[in-house]
Amino acid sequence: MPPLIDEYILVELPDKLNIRNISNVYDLIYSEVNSNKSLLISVPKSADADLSFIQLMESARIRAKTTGNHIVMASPAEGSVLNVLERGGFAETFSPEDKKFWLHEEVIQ
Amino acid sequence: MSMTDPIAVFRMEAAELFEQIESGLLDLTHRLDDREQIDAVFRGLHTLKGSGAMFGFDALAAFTHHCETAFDRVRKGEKPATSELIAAVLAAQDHMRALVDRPTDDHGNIGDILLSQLQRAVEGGAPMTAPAQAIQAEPAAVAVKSAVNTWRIRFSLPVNSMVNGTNPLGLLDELRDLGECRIAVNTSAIPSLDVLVPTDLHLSWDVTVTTDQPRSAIDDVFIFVLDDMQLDVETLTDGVPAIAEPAVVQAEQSVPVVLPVAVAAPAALPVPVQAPAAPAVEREAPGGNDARQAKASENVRVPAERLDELMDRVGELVIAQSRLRQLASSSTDLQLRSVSEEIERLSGELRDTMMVLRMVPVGSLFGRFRRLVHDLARETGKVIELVTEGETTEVDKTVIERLADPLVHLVRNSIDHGLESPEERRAAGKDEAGKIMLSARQAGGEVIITIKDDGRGINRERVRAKAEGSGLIQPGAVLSDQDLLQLIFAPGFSTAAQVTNLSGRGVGMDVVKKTVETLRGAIDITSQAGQGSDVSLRIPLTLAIIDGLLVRVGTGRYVIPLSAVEECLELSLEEDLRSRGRSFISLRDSLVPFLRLRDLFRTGTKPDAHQKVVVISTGTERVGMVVDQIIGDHQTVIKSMSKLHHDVATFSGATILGDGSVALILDVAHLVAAGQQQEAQVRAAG
Repeated sequence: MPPLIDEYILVELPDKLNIRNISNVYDLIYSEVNSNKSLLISVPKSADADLSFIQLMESARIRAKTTGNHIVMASPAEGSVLNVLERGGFAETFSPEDKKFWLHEEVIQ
Repeated sequence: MSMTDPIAVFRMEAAELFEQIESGLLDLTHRLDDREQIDAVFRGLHTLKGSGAMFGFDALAAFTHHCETAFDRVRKGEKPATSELIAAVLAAQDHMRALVDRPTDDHGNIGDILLSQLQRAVEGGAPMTAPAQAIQAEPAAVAVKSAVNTWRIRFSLPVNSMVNGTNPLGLLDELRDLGECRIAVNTSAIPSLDVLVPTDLHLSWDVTVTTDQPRSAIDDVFIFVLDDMQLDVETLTDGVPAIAEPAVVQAEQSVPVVLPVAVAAPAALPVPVQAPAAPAVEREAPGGNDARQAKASENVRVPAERLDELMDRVGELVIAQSRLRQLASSSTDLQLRSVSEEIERLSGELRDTMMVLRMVPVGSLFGRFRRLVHDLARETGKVIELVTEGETTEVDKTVIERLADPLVHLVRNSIDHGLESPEERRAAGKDEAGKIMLSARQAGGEVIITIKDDGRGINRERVRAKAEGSGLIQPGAVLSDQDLLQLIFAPGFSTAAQVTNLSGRGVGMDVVKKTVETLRGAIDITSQAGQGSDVSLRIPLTLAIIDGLLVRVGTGRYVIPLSAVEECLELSLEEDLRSRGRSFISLRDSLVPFLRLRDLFRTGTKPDAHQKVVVISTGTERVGMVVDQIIGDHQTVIKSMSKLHHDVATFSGATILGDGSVALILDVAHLVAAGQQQEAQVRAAG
C-alpha cells in the first residue's frame, strides 16, 4: 500500500538536471533515500534534463523497490524530461508501471 | 562519493584532441589530399566542439564551430585543403587551447582576427572537383542509396561517454533522420542508487530503421564514437530499389558501376521487422570492434601523481626489504632467511613492474616538435625537414616532462643558428631543405636523445672569441675540441638576444645543460663546419630506483650505478704502489685512468690490502675507481641531496641502507670527466 502523501519527503530538484550537475542531484536524492522514507520528486518546469537524469531516477526506482520505499514524481514528466524520454526511446518501451511513474498514466488492465 | 572532476577530465580529453588535430594538420601539410587526415581533423574539431559545449566551454564551442565548418567543407569536397587553411587552423587551435585553459579570461579580439584569417583561407581556395577515382571507389554506395533496407542497430557506448561529451540523444536523432525509426532503450544494466556513478552511462539501445540510405550512412552516425563503442548492425531485409536512380554522376563520369544483385530484384515492400528472413549480419571486421574494445579495456587512465605516490611506496618497501635482508643474513633462522629471499624477489619484481608503468614512449615528446618546426619554417622562411627516429624508445615520465623545454631550445637553436637559408644552402651545393633529425635510442641504463642538423656547423672561432670576450676563458687558452664546443653551454655564453628568441621561455643553453645534469645526464656535442652539428643528451632511464654496486671507501659506503659498471679488478698493494704518480692501469692493452676514491674523499684511512678497481664508463670514456671493498649489488632508492649539498658535483644523490645509514651515490659522469681530465693533464705533462 503506497504511503499517504504526507508521509513522503519532498525532494525539490534544481533546474540543472544534466551531466554537468548530475553528481549534485545524485547527492541530493541519495541523502534523502538514506532516510528510508518514500520520496516525492519535484522537477521544476524549466528543468534542463538529459539522459543522466532519467538514468538516475531509474536507479532510484530500483533501490526503492529493493527497500520497499516508494518514489514518485510530483507531476507528470513535461518539458525537457518528457523530451528526453521520447528521444531516448524510453517512451516507446514504457511498461504500465513506467507510464504511471513518469506520465502519471494509469493503465486499466 | 569519489569522482574525478568532469572539467579536469574534459581538459585532459581536450589536450588529447588538440594533439590529434595538430598531428593531422601537420600530416596534411605534406599530403593536402589525404582524406584520412582530413576526416581525422574534422572528427577532432567536431568532438572538441561537442564536448566543449557539454562542459560549459561555450566560447570554445562557438569558436571551434567555425573551424569545424571549414573542414567540413573540405571533407565534402567543396573547398580544397590548402597550406593557408592549415596554418589558419593551427593558429586557431592555439586560441582554442587558451579558451580551454582560461575560459573566463578576456581574450580580446584575437578570436575575430583568427576567424577572419580562417575565412580568407577558406574563400581563397577554389572549389574542389571530385576526382574520378573517388567515384570509382564507391560505386556500390552510390547504387545502394536507391534501395530501401530495414536495419537493426544495437549499440552501447562506453560508461564514460557522457562525461566525455558524447550525447547519445544526438546519435538517436541522427538515426531518426535516416528514415522511419523505432527506438527501444535497454535499462537493465542500470545499477541501484547505492552503487550508481551518476555520470556513467548504463543504457544501450536497440533501433530499427527503414531507410534508403546505405549502410555507410549508419556508420557515419557513429563516426565519432566508433572507436570505443559496441555496435551491431544487421539487415532485416535485402536491399530493394525504391526509385530508379541511374545516378547522373555515373553517366557523366562514364564510370562503369556494377549494381549489386539485390538492386536488380523486383521492387517489394520492406519485410516487416518481426520477420527477419535469414538476416545478413554486418559486423565490424574481425579484430576491428572487438580489438578496439579489448584495447579500451586494457588501458586505464591513472593520474600521474598516483604513480608518483606508488613509486614512493615501492621505494620505502625496497628500503624495508633491504633491512630485512640484513637482519636475515645475520640470523641463523633458516625460515627467516627463506622469507627474506622471497620478499627480496617479490619487491624486485614489483620495482621492475613499477618502472615499466612509469615509462612513456619518447614519441610523445617528439610529437610536439612537428608544430615547432612547422611554425619556425614559416617564421624564418627556411625549408625544414624534420626526421624522427626511435619514437617507441621509452623513458621515465618525469624525464620526459623535464626534457621538453631543453629539447625545444636545442631544436630552435639548430634551426635558428644551424640551418642556412634556402639560398645559402643552394650556394653551398646542399639540398634546399635543411634537415633536423630527432632520434632516441636506449644504450644500457641510459637513453640517448640526439638532435642533429645538416646546417653550417658551429663556428669555433666565434665561440672562442665570444668566450674570451665574456671572460669565460683566458685569451689563447688551450682547450680540447670538446671543451671548446661545450663552452656554448656555459652560463653567460648565451646572449640576451638568444634568450629573447625563445619566445620568453627564458631558457638558455646553460639551463639546458643544468637541466640535463639534474637528471643525472650529460651532453655530448660534435660539429663539422659546413656539415652540421650533433647534440646528444644521455639521460638515465629512470630517476627513482636504480641497481647499484655498494662499495666501501675507508669507513664510508657509496653506491655506483650498476649500469655504468663495466668490470671489477683487484688492485694489489704492490700494483698500487707501482702505479703511484701515474694513476693508470693497463686493461687489455689500453691505459685506463683511475681515481683513488680514498684520496678524493680524504678518508685518512690506510688502504686495504686487496683494493678493487671498479671500471665505469659513459659511452666511450672509461675510468677506474679504486675502492677498499666491493660489498655487493644494492637496489638503490634515490633520495635527493639536501639543498646544502646540492652543488657537490661528485654525488648525484643519496640512499638509505638496510641498517638505516646513508650511502652517497657517485655521479658517474662527473667522475669519468675528472678521470679523463687527469689523463689529459698527465699526457700534457709528457
